[in-house]
Amino acid sequence: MNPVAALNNYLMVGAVLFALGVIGFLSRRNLIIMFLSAEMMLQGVALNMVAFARYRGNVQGQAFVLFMLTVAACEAAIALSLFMVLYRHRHTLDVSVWQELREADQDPIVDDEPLPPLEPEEPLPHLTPAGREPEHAPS
Amino acid sequence: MVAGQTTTVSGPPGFLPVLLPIGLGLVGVYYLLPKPKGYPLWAGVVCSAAAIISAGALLVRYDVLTPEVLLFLTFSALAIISGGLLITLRNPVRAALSFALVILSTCGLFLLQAAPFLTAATIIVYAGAIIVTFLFVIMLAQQEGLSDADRRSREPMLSAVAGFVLLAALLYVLVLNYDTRRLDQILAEIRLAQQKETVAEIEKVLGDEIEDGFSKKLETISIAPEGSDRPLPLMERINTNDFMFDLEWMRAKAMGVAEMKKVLGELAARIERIRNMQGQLQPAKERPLSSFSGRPANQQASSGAGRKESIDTVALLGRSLVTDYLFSVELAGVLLLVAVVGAIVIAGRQEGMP
Amino acid sequence: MADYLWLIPCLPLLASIVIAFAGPRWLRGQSHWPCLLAVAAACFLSMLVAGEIISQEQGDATLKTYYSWVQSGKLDVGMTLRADALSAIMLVTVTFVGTLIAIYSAGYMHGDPGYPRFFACVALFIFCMTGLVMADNFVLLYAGWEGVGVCSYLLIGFWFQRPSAAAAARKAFLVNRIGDFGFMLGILLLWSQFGFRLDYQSVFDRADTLAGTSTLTAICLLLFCGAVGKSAQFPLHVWLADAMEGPSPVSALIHAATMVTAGVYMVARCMPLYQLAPDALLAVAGIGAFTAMLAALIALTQTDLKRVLAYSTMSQLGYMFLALGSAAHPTITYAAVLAAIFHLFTHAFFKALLFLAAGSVMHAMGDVIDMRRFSGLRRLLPTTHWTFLMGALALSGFPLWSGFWSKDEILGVALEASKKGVFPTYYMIFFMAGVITAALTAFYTFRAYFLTFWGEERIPPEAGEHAHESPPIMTVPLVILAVLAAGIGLVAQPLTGWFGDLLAKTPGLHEHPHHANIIVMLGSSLFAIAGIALAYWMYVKEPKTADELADSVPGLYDASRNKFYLDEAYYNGIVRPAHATSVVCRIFDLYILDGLIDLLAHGARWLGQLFRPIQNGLVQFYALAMVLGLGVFLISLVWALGG
Repeated sequence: MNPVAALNNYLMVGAVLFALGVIGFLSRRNLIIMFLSAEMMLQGVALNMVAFARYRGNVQGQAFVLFMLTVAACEAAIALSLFMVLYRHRHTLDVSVWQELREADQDPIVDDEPLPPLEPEEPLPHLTPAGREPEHAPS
Repeated sequence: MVAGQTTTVSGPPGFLPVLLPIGLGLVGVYYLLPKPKGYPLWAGVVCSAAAIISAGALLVRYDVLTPEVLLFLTFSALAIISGGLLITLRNPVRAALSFALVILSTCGLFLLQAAPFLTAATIIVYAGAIIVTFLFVIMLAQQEGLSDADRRSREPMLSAVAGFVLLAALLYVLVLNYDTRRLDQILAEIRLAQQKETVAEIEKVLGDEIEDGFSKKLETISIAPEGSDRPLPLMERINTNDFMFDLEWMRAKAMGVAEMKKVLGELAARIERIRNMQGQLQPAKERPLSSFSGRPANQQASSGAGRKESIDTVALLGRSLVTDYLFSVELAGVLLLVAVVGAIVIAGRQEGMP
Repeated sequence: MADYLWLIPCLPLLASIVIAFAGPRWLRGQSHWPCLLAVAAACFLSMLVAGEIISQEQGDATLKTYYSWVQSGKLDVGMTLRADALSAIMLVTVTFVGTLIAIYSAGYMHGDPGYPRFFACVALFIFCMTGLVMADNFVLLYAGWEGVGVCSYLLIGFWFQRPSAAAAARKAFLVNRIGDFGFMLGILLLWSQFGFRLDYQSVFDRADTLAGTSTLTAICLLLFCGAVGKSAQFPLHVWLADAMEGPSPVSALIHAATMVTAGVYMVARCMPLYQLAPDALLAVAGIGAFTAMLAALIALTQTDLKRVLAYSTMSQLGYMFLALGSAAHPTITYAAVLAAIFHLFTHAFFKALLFLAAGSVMHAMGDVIDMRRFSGLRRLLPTTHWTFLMGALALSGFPLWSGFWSKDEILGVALEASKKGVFPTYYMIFFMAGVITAALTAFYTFRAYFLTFWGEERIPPEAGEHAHESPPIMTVPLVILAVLAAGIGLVAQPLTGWFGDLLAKTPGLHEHPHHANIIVMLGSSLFAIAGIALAYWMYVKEPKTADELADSVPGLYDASRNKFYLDEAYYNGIVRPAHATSVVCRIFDLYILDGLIDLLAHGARWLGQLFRPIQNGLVQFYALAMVLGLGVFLISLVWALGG
């Protein structure tokens, strides 16, 4: 694999991660998943940086990724605390409940398509409290 | 492609190799995104898998399947698949876990790119700290399980189109600028010719009429020099004041096979150099980097084949951070402190709560 | 001398600021003190300047640059003050008359609610006027020029509650704007033609390069345009008579003695330019002579004492321009400037005196100034009567009084120009006009005098029971001015000749020996005495003759009384068409332009309605729009770069 081809491959993977992050950020409505998608976009960019650092044979790209990491950590801290505040107000992590900043006379966007009923989840196994005889499978 | 083979490649790469995986991926992701009336799971999975495989076949370039290439393929496939899972899984906890998988696989890619320190740092910061905190928040907020919002997407069609259009543009530019196949082919021909022992054999490999045929091939290929998007014929980029290929070749033919091989060697070196610089943007001439940070990118000698580099860039990175980026490091520390204080203040605010 | 030069304009400015801020609250009735002290100090310093210049062997201009005011591209204007003989004469005139008038005003304006405002404006005026005459470049001159215009506006409209005063102030300002616009164009043309320099010395040094060209004529005519406005010459003379709405001291100071002479000063200052443009000089002389005659004819029939004086001011200013315009030959340039400036000098005293005396009459008559409503005041107001008589004699050019000497110089110069100049016929006509005007001047001056002070004693009811002579604070300046009006002409020029010697020290003005023309002297004296005698006969001996004469030629009489219908002509010829145009424009604006704008606005609103749903408050939707836009942009970029 010659260096140009290697660079090309890594840049492509970075681009794919970035684009998937964009789609996730645009379509998913859970604040946390949106945030994770944004982080994935950052990862795509970081991959580009690292690939270029390798290609050029120095560490400038890596140093930059380190700063990106720092900023991402700060961002995560602030974002999480903001999520907490938002959650306290509306008791949901759905981003669509925050749409007050629309035109004054415009109707809010409401999901009117009914959801199919959830399939019942399998009951989780649990231990019998101490001092009681466990249930036995009928033998 | 295996070295030595002389498969003919003609014309610039088309849009088709990009379009096929993009189209498949678009359909697959659209199918998989959460919707009230979903599509069957298998359709989305099949489309996405087809997209990943076709992309791997059409776009990824390697000569020999070395362990490095294998690792790259594995890690990137893992990263892309878990990225897709992150945006399509309905359960946020699972999405967060797949994000951890994305991080781990990109860390593998980092390691392949000689960035061990970043690998460690990213795993610690993301997988170790951020993901765990997120899981805490999810657990705290969504104790009742899957919420309605997680089962719907906002404009799934439009956002998938937007994302993949973006991706298509990026990939097409990459394919266009880093296409080295024709140069690789010429290099292979020259290397093959170098192994021959007589003039006739050499001429047979390179082309029947050496003066016209081979030189014309060099003329017809156009490569944009770095920092420009106006392509120049390869011949013009090979020739310099002290090496005019046509003249050298005439001279060498008169002097014998050994001299011809020498000229071919020089030609191969030059073409390889041009290939390795392809698609490169020229960095600023004056870059104030100290010698602690390694060779600056604007020194051309730094990039090229045959460079032997230690995987141990940790020391280099450390020196770079405390010399050239010292102020930025301090600033990053302050930023972290401010973020911590801010997070506490924001999250801890209790007054006026409903 | 250079050390205290800046004090001359700055002391009045300081006084003005002090009065403006401290006057209404603390100084009140004492507001005249800062103004009085500052102007008196400026007068003292001006006299020092004049004294130093007289004692100099060679007359040099003292230049003092305080700072660089504008430095932008090719424009370089310094705050430079200049003191030379011409400036010194003007300074002494302005500050001396200003001091006396400030003293007089303290009595005249006593008890007026706007007392501090009046003195603040007067001090500001003195600042601007001294700045104007001490300026060393055309921009500073223009600044002073506009400054005195503003002060004139403020003081004409001093009693702004009276609609007539407000209208008069507006009229003065607007008419002056016309002239000032030409003046500014002149300065700009001059700036572009003389190597982008604006200081006098550089401009005058380069004047030769344009000698005789139409460009120079254009510059001179444009500059003269400003003088026409400021000095109330035909056709921009209409503001001065209305300016009499202001308080009498203002009429005396600004609209007789000083500001209106700024145009004369400017033309005299630019004489090195005018000298090289004979066509422009002819225009100056022609307009001067025509205005002198026109104003004198109008003054014949006016019944308002102050208006008679206002028209006589125009007439006398016309004389000065006639003198300046007669500088058509290098050998008479000096005589011409001397005549004009000397007349300016004497006129400042006797016309200020006349206005102040008229103010004194007004003061006694309860602000009635119509001569038909009072008469025979000579016993009631003895000091006013005597001082007015002195002024009237000086104005009418009675032998040995100051006006006689200066007017005589002017007529002599005009006659000289008709012999030596380029356009002998024209100058001969101007000379004749000047001589006839001299007789008319004597007649209308004494008409006013006899109507006011002779005949049976009549007092209008507004004066009340106790019409009385003005207090000493007003009569003392009157007496001082009367003495000067009577004697200064004789003392300054024919006896000692110091005025001519001083003026000759102006850089760029070369003394040429000239002789008083005895024949002209005798002739003009005869005309003056004849005019006085006629006035005596018509208004004292046979009071009915005047009315009979008026009835016999009703057309002429009415024309003169109505100022030859010039105001009406301006109204019908300029104001009305302008008004009609504005109505048309208004309709166009209301229905067509506004309609277009409304259409645009409706279009924008419609578009807004169309795109409104996008603004739905969902963050993700906005992000989606951004990414879609980015995608389109990227694809077009790839396309454009040869994808």
